[in-house]
Amino acid sequence: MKNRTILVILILLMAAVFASCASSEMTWLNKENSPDPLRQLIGLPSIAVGNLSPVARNPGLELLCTGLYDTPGGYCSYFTDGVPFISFRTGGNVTSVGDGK
Amino acid sequence: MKFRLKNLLNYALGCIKRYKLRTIVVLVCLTMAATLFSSVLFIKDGLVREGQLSLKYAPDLTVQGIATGRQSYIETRYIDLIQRILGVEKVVERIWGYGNIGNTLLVIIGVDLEDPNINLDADYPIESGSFLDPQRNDTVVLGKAVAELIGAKVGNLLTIITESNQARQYTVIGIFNSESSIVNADTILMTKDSARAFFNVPEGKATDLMVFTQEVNPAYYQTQTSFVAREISELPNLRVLTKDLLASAQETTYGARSGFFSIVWYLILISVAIVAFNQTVVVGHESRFEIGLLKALGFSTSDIIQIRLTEGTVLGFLAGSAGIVLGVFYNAVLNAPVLKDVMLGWATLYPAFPVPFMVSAQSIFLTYAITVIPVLFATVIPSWINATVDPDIAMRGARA
Repeated sequence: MKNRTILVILILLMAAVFASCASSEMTWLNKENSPDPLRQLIGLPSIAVGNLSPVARNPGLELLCTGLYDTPGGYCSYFTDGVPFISFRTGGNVTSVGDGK
Repeated sequence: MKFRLKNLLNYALGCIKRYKLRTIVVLVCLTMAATLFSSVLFIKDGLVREGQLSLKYAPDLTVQGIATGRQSYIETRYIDLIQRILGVEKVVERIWGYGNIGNTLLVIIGVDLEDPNINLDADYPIESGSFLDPQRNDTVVLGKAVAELIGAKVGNLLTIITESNQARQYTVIGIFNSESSIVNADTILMTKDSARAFFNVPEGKATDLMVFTQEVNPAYYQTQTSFVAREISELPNLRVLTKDLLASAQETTYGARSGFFSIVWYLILISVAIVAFNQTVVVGHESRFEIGLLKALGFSTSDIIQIRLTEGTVLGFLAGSAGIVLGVFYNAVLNAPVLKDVMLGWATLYPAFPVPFMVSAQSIFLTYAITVIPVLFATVIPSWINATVDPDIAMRGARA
């Protein structure tokens, strides 16, 4: 193998890398800029953020949920609280009453 | 100067050929690691971008009902209350859910065809048949991959068992081919009334509400959205999701998944760096005589370091480029077997779909950085140590 062959292989590989990068970036830009009436109609942010979608769970939890469905402490149907826009006047949403004796 | 650089380059390339075993070990190990790493990055970028695209069309706020700490139906009486909030443009009820067809989890969405804001003549990507017709109930439009999955064609009668164990029949009146492979793979559209009947959603309730805020100067968008969200939060048994929250959930999900793989990759990288370093040290010992000879012939320490620098750079870029090309091939042609399942949650419920991937400049830069830099360290340091030794001692030491 000549020295030049190594350089030619390197240049060809790098050209392929940058071509695929340019092509990919262009494709995604086109997708972004062209209107998509279907997505506009359904307004659903795809399977990836569906609340019950197992995609959002970690693999260990997923096994638990698949095996036992939702048991207390399984959090299979657990959701975040959404946006915490309410500031509870009591200092939180838990109030303790009594002297604890 | 030009000839000097050319000679050094030729000598460095000659070294790559001369130390075949080291070259092969370094190239194979680094290429494998770069393939794995770049594939994960490409899939992660693709999924995040796909999510961002969907979010672009998502409502500004999604309002869900909460009961016993879980998501439940939301009462449609909230529509009027939310509509009155300053800054709200419109509120639309939505009925959607998951349906199992065989072992596949699909998203069934009810479209409100009576909504005056819906343009039925819009340019929907219908591949065959037509879009939903307000005059015809019990009809469905399927994503292309869904249709392929269940072998349905336009005009076919589709029977689906609902959650309430009722068999419902729908006529397939159209098949769409969206630009989003995920939407194609998991979406069934039907009229809102059909979806209500399918999921047995009681009248006066909906899955969630889409809240669209009024158009304002982008500088005030966040303030307006926060204000509306705060007002809605005052209503009982509701939770509010903003676009930002959904975007960050996606980022976290896939960021964590790719992070998990990055850790595995780092372990591989460390092993590779050790192998490369070991090989270079062995070769460094073998080439000690050669370095001594070069120095005796008038090569300076910096010349020798330049040779090894060139050699390492070429090896690193070769391995990085080969890894990236293989990564693209793995994603685009092979559809990322194994990795796809891990990135999507190891679930077996999902329909098969071409995994979205994106070859971003950032991923390429990162992959090159972590293939070139370790090799440079592994080649330049030993040669620098050898090159600083007196040529006579270096040649004697190498022969000893």
